[in-house]
Amino acid sequence: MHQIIRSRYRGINVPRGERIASVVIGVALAAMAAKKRSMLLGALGAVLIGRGASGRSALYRLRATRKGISIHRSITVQASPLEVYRLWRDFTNLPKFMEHVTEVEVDADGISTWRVRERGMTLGWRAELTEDTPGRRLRWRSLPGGDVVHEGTLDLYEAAGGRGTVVEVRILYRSPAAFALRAFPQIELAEDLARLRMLIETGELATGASHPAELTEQAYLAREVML
Amino acid sequence: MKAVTWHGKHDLRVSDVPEPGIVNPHDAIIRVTMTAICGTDLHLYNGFMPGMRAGDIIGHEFMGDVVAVGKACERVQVGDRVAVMCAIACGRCWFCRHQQHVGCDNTNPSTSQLALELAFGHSGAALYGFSHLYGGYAGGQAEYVRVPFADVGCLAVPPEISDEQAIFLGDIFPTGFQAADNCDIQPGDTIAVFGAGPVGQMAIRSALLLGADRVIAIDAVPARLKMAAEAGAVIVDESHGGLLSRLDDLTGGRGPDACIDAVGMEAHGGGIQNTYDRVKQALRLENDRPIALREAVMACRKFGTISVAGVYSGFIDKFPMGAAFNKGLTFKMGQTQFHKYAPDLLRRVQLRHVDPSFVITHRVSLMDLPRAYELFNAKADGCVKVVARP
Repeated sequence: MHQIIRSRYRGINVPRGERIASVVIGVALAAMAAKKRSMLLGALGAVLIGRGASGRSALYRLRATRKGISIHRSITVQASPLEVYRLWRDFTNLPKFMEHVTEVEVDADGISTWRVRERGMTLGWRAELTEDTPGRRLRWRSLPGGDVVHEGTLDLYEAAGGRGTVVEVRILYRSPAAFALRAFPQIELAEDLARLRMLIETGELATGASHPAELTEQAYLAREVML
Repeated sequence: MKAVTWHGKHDLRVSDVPEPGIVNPHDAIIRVTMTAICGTDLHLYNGFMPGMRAGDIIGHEFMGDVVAVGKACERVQVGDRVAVMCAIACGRCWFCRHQQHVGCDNTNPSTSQLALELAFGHSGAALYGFSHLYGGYAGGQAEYVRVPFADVGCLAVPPEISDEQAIFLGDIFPTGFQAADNCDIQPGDTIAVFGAGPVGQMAIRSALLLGADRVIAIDAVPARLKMAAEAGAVIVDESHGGLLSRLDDLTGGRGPDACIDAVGMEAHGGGIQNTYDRVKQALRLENDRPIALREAVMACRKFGTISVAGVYSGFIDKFPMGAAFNKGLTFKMGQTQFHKYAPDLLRRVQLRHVDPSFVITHRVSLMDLPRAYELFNAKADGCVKVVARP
């Protein structure tokens, strides 16, 4: 786990549907190019086929790395800022409520190694903390060479009127992969935080399952560990 | 075990399904001794509810005996006889701590929370047997049910109270009671109840319990009007038309002090208004038919209260906002705070101030429930409320 993870999915930034469309349109253009003997159409078709087959778009990479994709979400939980901080700071707890995070390992110098399963693909990166203020704030950023380039902040503060603790998360994805792999990162963050609140407030994850056999592996894990 | 499962519009079946087990530590398993069809179940039956999947077990009014408890249950024990609140609440989030259990933050799975947030701005508590939008929990028209957060959702029923008296404590009785409570009834008040279905019947009796001088019950179904008259309400058969002028006549031209809408989104008014809403609904331009609500706004006295107990799920059209504003009406509405009202209502039943079993007109077995839905939906055979034993 200590070497930098480089998966074969690295750099893929075109969503699946768009990849298929690229190939289809590319093939059509190539056929048209052969008929009309047009170099320009042929080149365009080839680019589209290459983009669809490889799943990598230079244009998207430029857009993602220049501007990045920024997401944020805040919720209020009935616990103290320090309790939320403690749960989060032990990164090995995160797979219990973050649906796509399968494993987090932390080495002696505080570098964490993450594995995420997203749409059938396993991705990884390593990250370092850039700020660690107990009960108040965590900031982190991914180290070069991982599959998902990003930086993030967890802010904790007491809600007005003693209404609990506001948990605020901001993440800036600079990864070219962000477009394809976290097509709905805002929704995933919202769901992760909803599950965080369940775990903190009730010690269990809500499920409509009627039998333990129907539980997801994650829900089962959370159920076993939190009590 | 046997359970009533949903397979599509007007397609309910009694199926053999696996028995539920303890999933989470605060769960209990209830052996159902009595279940009922709620008016809200008709939204599923009539195909108005999104997020239903073929094979879903429906039903949210049920009671029974506790046969298993999770390791974190502290209050509920095996052998307890309990009425179950139809909304699932954790008891620990901010809303539960403020007696607003139907706003519970923690019982809908995260995906349902996000879907409800998209629909309503914020999500609330999960419901039994009420689609995957509300958590995808199996319902109570079954032999056994998994009850999450059983310590919060189960109300112990003493032996002198029968199943028929206790079963409505988890849904229609608190719903009717909250509708009346929301009217802030003062001595001398006249309360008009639009819709004398099961919830309307509970609202009529609750309004009288809470000191209303007079209750006017409005409906078009003879069996319902007869039941309302037996409770002591003045009855108005709306099929005779001229509802607004009759309400004015009954209140000396002032209008009722408060109007309860116990009808909701599937109103069956008459005339051009009904046709208008039905056409728009069919074209998906409007998903609720707010006929009773419009009439209540027009009928209510100046500075009176509109209390909405009937369910709305989406958008309404041609709402008389000008009338509401110029008369300075107060609106109170929402899903019922079952957990808040049920213990007090149980006490009232124990003291024999009220016996909610009056509303039952049909007693069937679980196997006969699909047929009973047809009857209840058609309001045929004098059907007001159906209960079933597994």
